[in-house]
Amino acid sequence: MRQRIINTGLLLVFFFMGLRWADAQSLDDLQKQYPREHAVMLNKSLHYRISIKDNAPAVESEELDQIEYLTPQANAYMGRFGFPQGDFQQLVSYEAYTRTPAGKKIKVTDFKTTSSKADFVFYDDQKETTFDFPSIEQGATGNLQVSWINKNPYLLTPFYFSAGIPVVNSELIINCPKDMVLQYRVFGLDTAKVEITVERGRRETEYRFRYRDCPAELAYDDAPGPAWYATHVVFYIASFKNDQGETKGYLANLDDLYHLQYSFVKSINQEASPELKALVDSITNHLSTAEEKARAIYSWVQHQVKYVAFEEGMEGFIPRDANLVCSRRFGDCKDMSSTLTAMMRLAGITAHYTWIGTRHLPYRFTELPLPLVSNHMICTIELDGKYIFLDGTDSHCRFGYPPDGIQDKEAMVAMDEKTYKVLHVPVTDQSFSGITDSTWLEIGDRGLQGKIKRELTGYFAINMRSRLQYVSPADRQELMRNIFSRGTNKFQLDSFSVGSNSAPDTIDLNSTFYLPDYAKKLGDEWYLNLNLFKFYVDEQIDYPKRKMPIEHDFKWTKTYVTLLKLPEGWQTGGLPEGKSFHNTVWGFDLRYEIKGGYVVLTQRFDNNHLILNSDQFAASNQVLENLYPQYKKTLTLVKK
Amino acid sequence: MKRFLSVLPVILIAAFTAKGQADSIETEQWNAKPALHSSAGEYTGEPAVVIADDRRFEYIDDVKGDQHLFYTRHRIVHVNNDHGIEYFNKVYIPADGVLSFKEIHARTILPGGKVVELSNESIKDIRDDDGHAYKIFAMEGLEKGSEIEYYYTAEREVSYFGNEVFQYQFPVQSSSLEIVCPQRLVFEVKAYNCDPDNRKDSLPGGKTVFRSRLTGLSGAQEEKYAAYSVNLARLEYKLSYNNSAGRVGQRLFTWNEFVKRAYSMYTTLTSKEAGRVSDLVRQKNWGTLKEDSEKIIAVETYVKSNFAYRDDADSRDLEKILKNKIADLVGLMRLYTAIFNELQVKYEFLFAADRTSWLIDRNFENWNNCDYPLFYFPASKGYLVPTKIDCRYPLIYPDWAGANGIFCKTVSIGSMTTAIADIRPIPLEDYSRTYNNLDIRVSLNQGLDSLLIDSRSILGGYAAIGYREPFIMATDEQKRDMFKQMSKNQLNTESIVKSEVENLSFEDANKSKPFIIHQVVLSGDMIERAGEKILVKLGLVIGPQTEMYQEKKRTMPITMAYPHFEERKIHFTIPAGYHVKNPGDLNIKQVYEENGVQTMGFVSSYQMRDNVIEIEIMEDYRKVFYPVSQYEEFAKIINASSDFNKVILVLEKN
Repeated sequence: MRQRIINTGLLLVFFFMGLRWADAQSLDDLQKQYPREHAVMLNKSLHYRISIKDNAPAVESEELDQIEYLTPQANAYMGRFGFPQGDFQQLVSYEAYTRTPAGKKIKVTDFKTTSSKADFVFYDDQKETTFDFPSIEQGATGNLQVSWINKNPYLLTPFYFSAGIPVVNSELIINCPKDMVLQYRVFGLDTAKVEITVERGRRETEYRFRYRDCPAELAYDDAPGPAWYATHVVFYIASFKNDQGETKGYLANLDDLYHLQYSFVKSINQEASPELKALVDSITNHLSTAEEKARAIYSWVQHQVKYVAFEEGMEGFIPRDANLVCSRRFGDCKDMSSTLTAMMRLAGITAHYTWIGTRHLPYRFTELPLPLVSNHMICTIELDGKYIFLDGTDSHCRFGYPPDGIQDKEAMVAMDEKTYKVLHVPVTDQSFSGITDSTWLEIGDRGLQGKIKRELTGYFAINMRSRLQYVSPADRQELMRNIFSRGTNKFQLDSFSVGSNSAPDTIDLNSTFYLPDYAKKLGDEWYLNLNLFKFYVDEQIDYPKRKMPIEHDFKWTKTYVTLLKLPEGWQTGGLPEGKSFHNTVWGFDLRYEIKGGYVVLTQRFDNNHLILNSDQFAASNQVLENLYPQYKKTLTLVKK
Repeated sequence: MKRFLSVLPVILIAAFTAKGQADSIETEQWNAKPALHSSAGEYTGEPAVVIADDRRFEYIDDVKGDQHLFYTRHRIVHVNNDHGIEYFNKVYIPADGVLSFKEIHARTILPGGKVVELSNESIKDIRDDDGHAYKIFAMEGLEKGSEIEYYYTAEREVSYFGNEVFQYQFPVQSSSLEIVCPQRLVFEVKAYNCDPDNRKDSLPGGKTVFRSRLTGLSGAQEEKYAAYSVNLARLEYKLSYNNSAGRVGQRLFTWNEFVKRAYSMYTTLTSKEAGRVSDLVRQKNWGTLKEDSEKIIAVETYVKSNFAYRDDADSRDLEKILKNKIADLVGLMRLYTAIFNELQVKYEFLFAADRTSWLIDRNFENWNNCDYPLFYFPASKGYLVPTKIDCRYPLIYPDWAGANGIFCKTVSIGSMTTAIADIRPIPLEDYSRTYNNLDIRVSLNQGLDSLLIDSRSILGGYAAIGYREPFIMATDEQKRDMFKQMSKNQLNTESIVKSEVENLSFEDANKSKPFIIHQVVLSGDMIERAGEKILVKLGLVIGPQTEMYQEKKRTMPITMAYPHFEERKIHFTIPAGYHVKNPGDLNIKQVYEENGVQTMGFVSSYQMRDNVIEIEIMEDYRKVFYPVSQYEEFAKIINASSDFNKVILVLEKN
């Protein structure tokens, strides 16, 4: 479903405005304050003006940005800039120019407009216009003014204060009629730094949100979506007074939101085509129970309808008819929600269109009654009095379990035109997703050799099935070698097989291998470290510098067992001592034992979190500090 | 260079006289009653197989005698599984250089025989981040075993050169290139990495068709140390003759013609442009520098730090460039040219191709392959690459050397100066000039549980390209992160005692000074204990090495980024009271000789000096290309360095 609501604020890392607030700072001062920065944004300002026209809210906005270039090298790298435009954000005017240190104004004349879309979207009518500020040198400023009409006031873009470079003055201003109720919430890690002022005038109210000296954005690969940490303001029109002086609810509460969202689905799937009916019949006619039918329909949509997203105007919100989706065999999340719902209903199963925000977003319906809370659609069915969430876009998901990306989120389920439910999507517990990996080793003429059994369950299995599906025959051996590799990169795969079990959430992989030069023989002794895997080495969290949370896809447990067969006439020169360490965040168990002629090392790790916040980082690192010394214990074998 | 060539002297090509009516173009059609291709059955293990990929370029005269180019592509793909479906269900038709699309048709043929045709409303236009335009659509009704068929015809900007790649990751059963043109024109087609069946025929309406057909191309996969694109099957074509009256046998689009045109474009200035450049040269005092090389370095330093290169900027007027400080490729060439002329620095224009993609062929003048213009200074044999900030005089960007280039030799005839083409290989620097060396001191800490490592990475020649720019541009915070990342990658630790770089400035690169990264770190991970013994994983201090222990069957020749050597010196201090049980493990030797001369090798050896083990490693790859027949030997040498990673010294108490 349409992502632009979330994206636009970040689409341009840069956004902002005029000379009127910045206390003029000299180039010298700026260079001292921001050593080694090539440029800073003096101002980044977005100004919304909301009025009532034709008995409905009308919104215009203006962005003013000013960047000062601090080094001579800035021109080669920092001159490119841009702004968005689209159906809901119609461009009215724009001007960009450079002010040279000598005070000369040089206008930008060369603007280029390209399509702007997320990678997973095939077509989007959202556009981005880019340009280069000319004549950039040390002390020059780049200035941009853009104004838009925001055609759909239900979809106002949140304002993000930060940019890719430091911002001296970052500000959002909203003017609205005095009897309009405007609601806002500030999200992110630095909410305390945002100064908020509300001035109520005779006719208008002005809201101002300002963040001074906003640092540049930092990037971490394992962080959740930016809305979780980047400081931003979400604002919306709760109600307004119309020309008759009546107060009209706009997005005052969940009912208002539902009324809006339901308008997107109320006209679809009016009538099932004969082809659709025949299709549902052919999928379900040999099945007797509702659950069997539901499973079969879900599986059909998962596998036969491919994800292809077209986003054009309201198509970004209105699902397409199931008849069309089934004949085209492709669609986006909304289309799959529509198709699942229609097909389930044809099979006599109660099914509902459902809006949901993925874990990319931190918002909840119960705290924000806004369309931007959801960036995704699924289908909810009722079976034996239970609600089951079905996401058509994940072709490997197990029936009854949501994809990991929507766990712990609120789902807005459309019961009928007037009623809806907000349901919580459960989080799968640790035991659902597991890796149990066993390596049998013996010392042979090629070095260590042996076999591996790798059993995956839950999301690990689902992800593995997906990897296997998309690998070319030519690359399969290499993929398998990567999956099984351990010890050192000299690992050699002899053979492999994938278990015949076809359940989506379990998979067994088996292989035989040899591993030259890992075990070392010197004189009368063998040395080898049974920790074939040294997980989490160099993965300490950058703490206390890092404030940004860490995201885990799901909760899990992992167990790795290494079994070394003691060669005839040999014994261990002492068994290394194991260790267990657990705290409130996570932990491990490492255990050595001798069992039936084998030296056995069992490594076990678990994770019980979806998000780790910075107050948990110290404890997380503590686990690693206890773990690393364990990896240094090498086993010695001596002659009996 | 494609852009400046798009404006061509029409007179060379046009018919002599205007015609009564325009020729009509060949029309493409598909089978009215399509059926699935049974031949696809041989490839059921593949995600998809391309049944047909036919491309036609047709040159047509209009009533005024002007020429037009129509391009038609017709493709049929059989998809076998989800991977194949998801790879081919979204179609992107390139629209750069397209004046208009005449027709686009697409359909899906389902296993049951049903045909689903695409409606025109389903076709959308996009322009991606890089400014490339496409028509896009999604194929409807696809399921396993279906076939995707589409064809389109577009009028394109006229160009008389082409480079059509027919091989990709999936097998292709049949493909063809057709060039249809008025009878007076003669096109030549040259095949690379394939052996097509070529035919010339006449068509009604006084047309000639040059046909090349390829059958049974296998899928091509990426391989380590291989240049992928240049090894794919491709057909290149060019217009060579216009046999209209008076021009029979006169070869068109020669390399000399190319060079003449480029020379004129880069050197012709308006008087205002010349004046502005003179002012700049005077103002910068470059004329007072003694040596040409000093002038070149000063100019390069100034231009690269003050002007932004934007290929899409359409900025070649020097007045505008000097004002806006933004230039496109032609603009940059004109700027340097004007400055060098003003300073009377002797140079030649040089055109290079990226040898990993395609090649400049002396006998087949495909002007489209000369993508990268640069300067060559015959006196110093140095190069200046205008478009790469981090590649500095005298080095050329290594992907552009090691293959043919077009050197433009200036000639004066009377008062007129022009240039002629000299096509010859652009030499890469000898392997001894490019290095990635390490100088490392290792000792144990007091507690004997960590290694103290003092490491200097010393990079010179081509190997240093790409390092200075990020360090110069980084904020202090970003620099710290870069050091941390490097320490993690090479030495497995984030515990950094000291980090610094030496010879950071671009002028140091001009003077061939090495770029040095000096780090002192503490690493706990490289030590293990086995009872009383200490195991030191010394082999890891050289950083992770590429391995080729278990590769799929090799198909492509070996291509290196550049010839180079890696000399590593490691001094390991044995802690008091211990001795090393297995120093012999440090000796590894794997070399390959051709006609008695070493062309690549890895040799490591050691010497004991008191309580210090002094290790010397010399790894080198003296050539840039090695044939497939030497692959096994090459892999042994690559693996020898990875084997060194596994060396663990066992320290035993005395």
